[in-house]
Amino acid sequence: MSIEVLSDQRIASSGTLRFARVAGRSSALFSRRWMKVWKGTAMAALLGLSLPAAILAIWTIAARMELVAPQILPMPSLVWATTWDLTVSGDLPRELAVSLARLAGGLLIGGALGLAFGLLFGLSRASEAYLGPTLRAIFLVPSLGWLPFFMMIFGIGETLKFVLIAKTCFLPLMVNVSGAIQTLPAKYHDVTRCLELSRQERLRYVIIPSVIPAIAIGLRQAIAKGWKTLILVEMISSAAGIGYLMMWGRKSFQLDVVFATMIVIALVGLLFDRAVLALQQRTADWSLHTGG
Amino acid sequence: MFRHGFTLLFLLAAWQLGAGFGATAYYLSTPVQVADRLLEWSMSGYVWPHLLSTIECSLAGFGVAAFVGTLFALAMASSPSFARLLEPALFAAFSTPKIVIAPLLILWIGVGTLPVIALSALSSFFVIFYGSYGGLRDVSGSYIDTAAVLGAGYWTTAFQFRLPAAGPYILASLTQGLIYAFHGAILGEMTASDTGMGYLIVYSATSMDAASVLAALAVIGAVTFGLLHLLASATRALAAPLNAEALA
Amino acid sequence: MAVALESISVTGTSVEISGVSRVFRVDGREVNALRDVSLTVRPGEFVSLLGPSGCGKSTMLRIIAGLDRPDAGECVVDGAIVRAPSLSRGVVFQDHRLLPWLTVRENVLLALHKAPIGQDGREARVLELLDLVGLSAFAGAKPHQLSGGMSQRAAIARALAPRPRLLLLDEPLGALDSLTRSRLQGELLRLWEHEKVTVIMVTHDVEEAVYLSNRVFVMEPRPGRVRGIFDVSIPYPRRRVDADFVALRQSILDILEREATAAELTC
Repeated sequence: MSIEVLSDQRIASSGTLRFARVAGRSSALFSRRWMKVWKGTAMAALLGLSLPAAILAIWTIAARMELVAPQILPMPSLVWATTWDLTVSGDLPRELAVSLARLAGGLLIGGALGLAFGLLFGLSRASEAYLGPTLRAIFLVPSLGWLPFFMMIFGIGETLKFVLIAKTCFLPLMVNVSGAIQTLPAKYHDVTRCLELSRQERLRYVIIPSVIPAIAIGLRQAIAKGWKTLILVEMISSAAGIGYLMMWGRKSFQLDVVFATMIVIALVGLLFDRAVLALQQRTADWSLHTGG
Repeated sequence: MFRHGFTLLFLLAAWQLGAGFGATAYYLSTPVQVADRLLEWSMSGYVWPHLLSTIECSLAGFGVAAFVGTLFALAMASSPSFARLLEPALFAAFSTPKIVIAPLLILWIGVGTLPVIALSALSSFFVIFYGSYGGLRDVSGSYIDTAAVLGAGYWTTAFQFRLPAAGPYILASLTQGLIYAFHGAILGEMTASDTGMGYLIVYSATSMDAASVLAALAVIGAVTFGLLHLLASATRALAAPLNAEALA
Repeated sequence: MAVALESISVTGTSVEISGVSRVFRVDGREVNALRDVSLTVRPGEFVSLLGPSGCGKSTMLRIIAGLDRPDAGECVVDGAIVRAPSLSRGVVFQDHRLLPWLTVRENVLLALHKAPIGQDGREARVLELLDLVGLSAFAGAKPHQLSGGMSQRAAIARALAPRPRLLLLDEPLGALDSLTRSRLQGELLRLWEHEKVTVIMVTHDVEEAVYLSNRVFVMEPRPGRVRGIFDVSIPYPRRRVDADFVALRQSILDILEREATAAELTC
């Protein structure tokens, strides 16, 4: 019997890479494998960068030959110099810090509320029936639409930014969390009944863990949308922040500043997305494989 | 049905009654005033050109985004080297706020319907591309094998096998894309236009007309709601036969 | 591996099912999943419910587990009517249904949350069971890292952990390849002997039923009911090529074949 068991394990471990690696990695194999990985990464990076490089080349040529007026299309070198100047002078870091603080505050308020309502709707059908449609209807109108209305109520101070970011971050968490609980496969319900789990145990061992990947997904959407909305608010009504800096650049026809801030906004957005994506994949190592 | 509307009715009643006290009525208006404004708009016909303009721009933007988005997705799903070339740049752009382009659009192509359409298309392109690409790339290998066994060439495989097999995913991403196109158009109108629902909101806000702002928001909400339901039923009708095939 | 029926008949539980009916409504039409089914399982027995899909065998098992309630009739286990699921009746489903976010050890441990044996006692019981099903080396693995056969071993360990007196198996090996399947059949017999439980297994595999069971209940669909009961008196360990084995398998197959033909004619 023990031989049979062993062979079953071997079949399984060759199927799951993790065990195979632990079982049979010699150092030579190890380094050669990593060489391959490095080469692959370098090739991928080279290919991936070729499109941005091509755009940069066209941009440089167009600007240098003055195919487009320099007031409309500044030289890449000028944009780079401006980015550097703004960073060294502290203008860019200062405005960026203002924006990030606003995003963090709004995300904290809206995200926590979204999580709470998501759990509530997921666990209680009645609360979803009473509150759900109204909340969803209100949030169906995009954040940017609410902006002018909120401006009338809250003025154009910090409150406005926090309220709008919170409003934006609320929905992704609410939708993902309540959805994850509601679509939790019925088969796990059978299991909790067979194991005689109490309400608290069911919450602790089944519902909360199953919701964590949904929280990560909701967080990713909330940060992406929150960042987007914040930039818009700052462009329209603010005296500080990275979006304001961009608008200031446009109004004073300093296109190099506009480009510099654009690049920073894009990079920060990308950075956030990658970071939360990594978090998402970490929390959901099991859900990638089970499909439910 | 009563349960679904309960909270809304409750909020509206509380708002209407509460607005009688204090000075908040000036900022908040009242439900009756908003309803009155909506009625006035539809009777005088004031709102229709704005709504029509927004819808036209959304559809134009959506059309461009749908065509280019699915085409890129199909090309990249069919050709790994093409995917390696474009994937990093497109994925990076996906997580970038599209509004950053608005100031440039205004400078480059001025104010009017063109920047609105451009922003609408840009907003919806990435959603459509991202969703379709995922579906097209992960089409079951058995379809592609079948295509190869039947001697299908590159284009036949792409259009006769890959595209239909990913049908449900493409439909879903198009649905989302239309909503994004609509919201993108409003965004554009708020920053770079003198017509449309987005412009109406900004204009009403600058003249401190709360009832009009809320009335416009209600119209936008209603259109989004209607669009979602229309698309949901359309998707169900269209995708029912596809789903059975692709998800089997 | 030799199992003498007398030695195990002491501790298991007995099951008494009388006049059980269950009707489902599908698209406005009534489907008789079970109609007036009665059967008895003796303490320590290994019985199979065998039949084509739609004969109500899984519904029967869910009723015994307490996951479903009959519309008429009752299911009595050890003198008490079954009203809700209980840890004293372990269930293994066709899909392992391990909680994917817990490790194998944590999954088994979860079934011991009511066991009055202290934390140390629970840990010891988990180790004992994982050893018994041959998963000691994989205690810290998550379900997605296991093969189908290993997941099912873990699910069986979870069901057996609280020392149930009745083990209910709903096509436990149905999704496995035939090699793993026949290996696990042998292990089921070993576990049955070791844990001294009564086992009721649902299957549509005639050979599996004959190989494992003391008795086989053959069921038929529309409405779901028991068509025949076969005593399998071949001593364990059984060989699938013995004349007795082959003959019994064939006579059960014949019944099922007649059933299928009749069903086609009435449809």
